[in-house]
Amino acid sequence: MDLFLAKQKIILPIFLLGFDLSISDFALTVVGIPMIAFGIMFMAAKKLSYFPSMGQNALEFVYETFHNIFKGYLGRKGNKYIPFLFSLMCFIFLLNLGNLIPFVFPCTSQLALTLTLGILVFVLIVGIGFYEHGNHFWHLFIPHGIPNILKPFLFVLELFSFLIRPLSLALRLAINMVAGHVMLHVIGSFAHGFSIITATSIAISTILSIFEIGVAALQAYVFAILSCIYIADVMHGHEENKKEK
Amino acid sequence: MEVQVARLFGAALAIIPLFGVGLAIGQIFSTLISSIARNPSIKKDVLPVAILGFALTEAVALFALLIAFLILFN
Repeated sequence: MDLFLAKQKIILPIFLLGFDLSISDFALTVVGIPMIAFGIMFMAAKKLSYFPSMGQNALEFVYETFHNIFKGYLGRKGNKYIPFLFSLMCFIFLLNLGNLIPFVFPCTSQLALTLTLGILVFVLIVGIGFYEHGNHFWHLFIPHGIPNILKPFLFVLELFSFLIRPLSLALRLAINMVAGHVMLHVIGSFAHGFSIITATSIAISTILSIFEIGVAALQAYVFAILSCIYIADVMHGHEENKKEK
Repeated sequence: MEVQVARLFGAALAIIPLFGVGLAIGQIFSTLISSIARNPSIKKDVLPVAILGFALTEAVALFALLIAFLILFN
């Protein structure tokens, strides 16, 4: 299945205590692209003042837009989780954009990276659940106002849909990215010689590339907003949702 | 039936979910348009939800595509 298994090239082999810690182009991309983003943001936020410079203004605008979106889901109590969600979104967005650059390793089309992110979010959700509710965490899986006979079945069902979350998060992101690559590959493989079909395929793949930038932004947003919804789910539970409405 | 032919049929069957996805995306955007047409001031609140729903629905289509590829190239 070499469609989904891109070969990573080992740049600097390191073996430590029996672990393979070699630096491949995969690892280099995952670290490098966020470092560039960190540099840009650090420059923008270096001199904070009440009369913001252009960089600070832009950064504040972007951050506040997403801050408000996340706050709408999380409520006042969940303010502390917003920076994590924002940085998660930026990370995924930049790696998605990196996918589109030729000769850059397509990180987010690897299930290894996306599943790691999904499991990270999952561990965070479980942690928040136990932190906020303690042992009452298990009550989240039993909706209110159902007959006692149904409770075990619903518990199993809810638990399953809870456990499947990291996998669905990871698969959605990876498959979206792979689908974009496959589409470009298929359109590109129509090109043959110098003909009208070649010209059409170049035009279509240009349009598709622009479309892919939109998909990159959309999938990063979806990943972050779904993590946000899961966190809000675990924080508020079933009872408080009812009260708010 | 030869394996290759069976594969092609399997891949064709695997993208049947696109029927439902097409209906769903049409439903999402028709509802979005009619709700904005009734109350244009709500656009800012409704659009992110619609985009989220669109992305979630699109993922189903891509899962089907993945299965089709797995059948074809595995």
